[in-house]
Amino acid sequence: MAVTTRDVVSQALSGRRFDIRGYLFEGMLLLALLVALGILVTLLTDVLIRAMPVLTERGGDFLTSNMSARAERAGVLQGIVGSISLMIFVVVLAFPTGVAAAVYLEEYARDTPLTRFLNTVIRNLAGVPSIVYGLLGLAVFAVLLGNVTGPERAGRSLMTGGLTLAILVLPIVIITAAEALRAVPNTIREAAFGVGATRWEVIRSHVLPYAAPGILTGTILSLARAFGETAPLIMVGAVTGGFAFTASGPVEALQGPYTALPTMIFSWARQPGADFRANTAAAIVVLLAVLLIVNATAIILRNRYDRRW
Amino acid sequence: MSALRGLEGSAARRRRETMIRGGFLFAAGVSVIISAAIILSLAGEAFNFARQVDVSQLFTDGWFPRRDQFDIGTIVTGTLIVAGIGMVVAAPLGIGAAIYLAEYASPRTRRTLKPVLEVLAGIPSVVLGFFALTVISPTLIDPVCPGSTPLFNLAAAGIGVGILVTPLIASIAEDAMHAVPNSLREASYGLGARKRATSIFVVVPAAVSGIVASLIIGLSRGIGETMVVAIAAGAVGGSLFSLNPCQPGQTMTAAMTALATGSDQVRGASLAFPSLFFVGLLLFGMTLVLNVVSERFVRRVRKRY
Amino acid sequence: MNVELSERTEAGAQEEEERRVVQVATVDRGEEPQGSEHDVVFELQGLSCYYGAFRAVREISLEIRQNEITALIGPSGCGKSTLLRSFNRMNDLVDTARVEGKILYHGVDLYDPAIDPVEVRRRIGMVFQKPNPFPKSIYDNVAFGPKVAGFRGGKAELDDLVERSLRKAAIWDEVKDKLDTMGTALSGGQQQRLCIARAIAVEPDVILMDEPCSALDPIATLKIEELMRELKRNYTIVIVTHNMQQAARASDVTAFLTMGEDRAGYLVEMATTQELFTRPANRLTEDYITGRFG
Repeated sequence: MAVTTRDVVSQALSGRRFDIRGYLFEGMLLLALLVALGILVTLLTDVLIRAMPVLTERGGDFLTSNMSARAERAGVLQGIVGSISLMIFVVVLAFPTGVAAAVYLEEYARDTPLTRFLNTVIRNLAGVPSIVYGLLGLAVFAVLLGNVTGPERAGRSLMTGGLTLAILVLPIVIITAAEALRAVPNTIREAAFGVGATRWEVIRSHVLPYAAPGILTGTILSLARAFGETAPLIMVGAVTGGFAFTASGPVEALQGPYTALPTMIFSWARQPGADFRANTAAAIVVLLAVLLIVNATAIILRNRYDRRW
Repeated sequence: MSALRGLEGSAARRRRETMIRGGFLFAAGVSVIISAAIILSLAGEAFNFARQVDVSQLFTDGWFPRRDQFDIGTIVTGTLIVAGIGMVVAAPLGIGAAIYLAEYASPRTRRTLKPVLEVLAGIPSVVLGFFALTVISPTLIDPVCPGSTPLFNLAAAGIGVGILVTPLIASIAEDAMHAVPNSLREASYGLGARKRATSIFVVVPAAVSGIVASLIIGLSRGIGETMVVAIAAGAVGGSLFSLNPCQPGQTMTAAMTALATGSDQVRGASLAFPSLFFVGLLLFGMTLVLNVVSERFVRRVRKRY
Repeated sequence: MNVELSERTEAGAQEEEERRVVQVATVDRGEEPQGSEHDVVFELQGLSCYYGAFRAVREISLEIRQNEITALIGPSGCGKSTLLRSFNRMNDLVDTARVEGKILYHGVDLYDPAIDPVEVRRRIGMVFQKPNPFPKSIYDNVAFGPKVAGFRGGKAELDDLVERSLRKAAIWDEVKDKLDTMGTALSGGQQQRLCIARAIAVEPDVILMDEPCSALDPIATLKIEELMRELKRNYTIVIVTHNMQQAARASDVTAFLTMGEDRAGYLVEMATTQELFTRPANRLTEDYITGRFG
């Protein structure tokens, strides 16, 4: 029982302990957060500083030159072209398949063991290291299907790279699209069913339009992820040394050599010597700039469509 | 009855619906096909390797595939050292930042800082590998490691991996803690606990499943990480077995890239090509186990609330 | 003497602007043997509670006495919970919350800058509307409070304290064989009694109850009301309830609050429970009790 005389109570209640352990704890936590953020800042500043000489002196020339053994002549053009080509593959292959799979899982499938199995498989696929997808691409697209994908090059072609990246990104597209579909309120579906629409009609006219911004955002973010991927491309033979672009037609281009911006960064990073360091940093700046624009686009799109609804 | 006929609807419409449904099902099935393909291709070549290799080759001084030395211990230890150092960095930073954001930060701070963490998570691993090589190695590792430290070393790669994984851990752990209902915090404050005690003894234990899941996912990511190690850890041709993080080393993933960028990838020429898949299968197995375990923890979180 | 807080007019008792006397509402207990009058635990002097610019509770003056069960009743939204939470400074957890006026606890101003709210909450415990046991074992739930308050004693003493608290909360017999199981696995009524045991374990002076039975079934509710009658022998209890019958059954003193034109809650009338429910002095009170509004 607590005591009841006023002075005793007063004394017991006051004497606000300077909660030193509490402040220390909070300080440590804040420190952890600041260190994590500080590393980001350090990284960005360091890269920018290193890239300065190349960007300021060579500027546009850097963006339009090919790979070269001489640092002062090397540029990222082939990397940019390659990366963009790969992204086209990813969009054309992974986007429709992924959204379709998500539509099935969220709109058609009932809660059966098969559905649960599918969901588990997809979730696990999303967690597989990207290099393993590279192995898959190597075994199936390069070696097994080499005659189709790149007869001159034992299958190490642009097509192989594109297919590999598409498969890598597919689970992520499925998961984000599924989330966007889940966010559609059931009342919309019910209203459409109520006037006698079939399931596909409901999906096509009501659910998909509502979920479109979310799906779009998710796809853009998956693209950003694919843009930075390196390991799988290395496994399926993206060129790291240098090559000349000699294709005479689209099919040959697809079956021909290629490189991507991240793989160029990888190969330059391993070169000894300070001259390539600056180039690497400049290429990183280009890569980060592209990623920044893509991510910003996704966020702006999401905000704009969120407000509309 | 004519009324019934009206209710049946048109057969063509129904057939079309079934076909459409089938199409979507097929799309979903593609994921299963891919999984099967991964396992088959890995297993096929890995089995090929296992058949041809001599057991003594698996336990040699080091991993030198072109010399027919395939010491598994070397690359697995390399992976564990890098992932271990990475977790030592990422776990305190990630969970500390998560607790701060979930319990101490004002809603506005949390709204501004969480996206910043997401940005950090989006930095490609090549960039981090470059950073590890050019900044972390000379500035952090060289002073700490005894003697003269080569530029390429496992420790720098480990820290790079740690930085890569921190935002992942922070994000998942923060979500888990944010999901703890406020009524529990109220109960704790009502009993006269302060914020520190409430955070440590009520919120964290309530969110422990999600926090553990974040750590397991972080570890899985660290084990599967390739580019940071490929750039910063050195040891392109092969590596002796070593436990010393201050020296260059080889992880499973870097070994795979080294094999792929080498010249003898033609099947049957040597054991180097199938060994690639053997290591790949090992890696796939490790990360699969970790991911399945982390799923269990995530499910426990959902069941509780 | 019942304080005349308002005039009983025939014309629309709803819109009266009462003649407010900032005078502490004291309660006429009628004929009581000398010396049995309980000490004053809480004395509120013109207490107002604000959320930012919005005044939720307007100038309440009343007394709460020791070892009594005081019920706060009134229509929903009239600030009863806000008022209750000001007793143990739980409102401090809301950024925009502040108070004006005074609330004296054994003569000490609770909102004096020198007072540590954490110490306040160790003496003035709270049981919430929806049972909120920690996802820990039953034992750990009860032991949490003492541990955090710096319990000095060995395992045996802690075991003792846990058992005593669970007994006082009338739940010992039901859980004594499963102290290691999760508190969240109990039924709703059991969970609430566990929360009461948890509050008791820090050996408070006062137990505040914020609609403790509203999430429970009638049988569990009756059990808790029985428990309250037991508890008042050692503790002072203040209970907010929107269930009038509960107030009539279980409390010694009842205060009726309602919402004014400015959407702030104010004290209409406070009297012994019997008095308030059989001979309410105020028209509003009578209307509320007879179900004409609220």
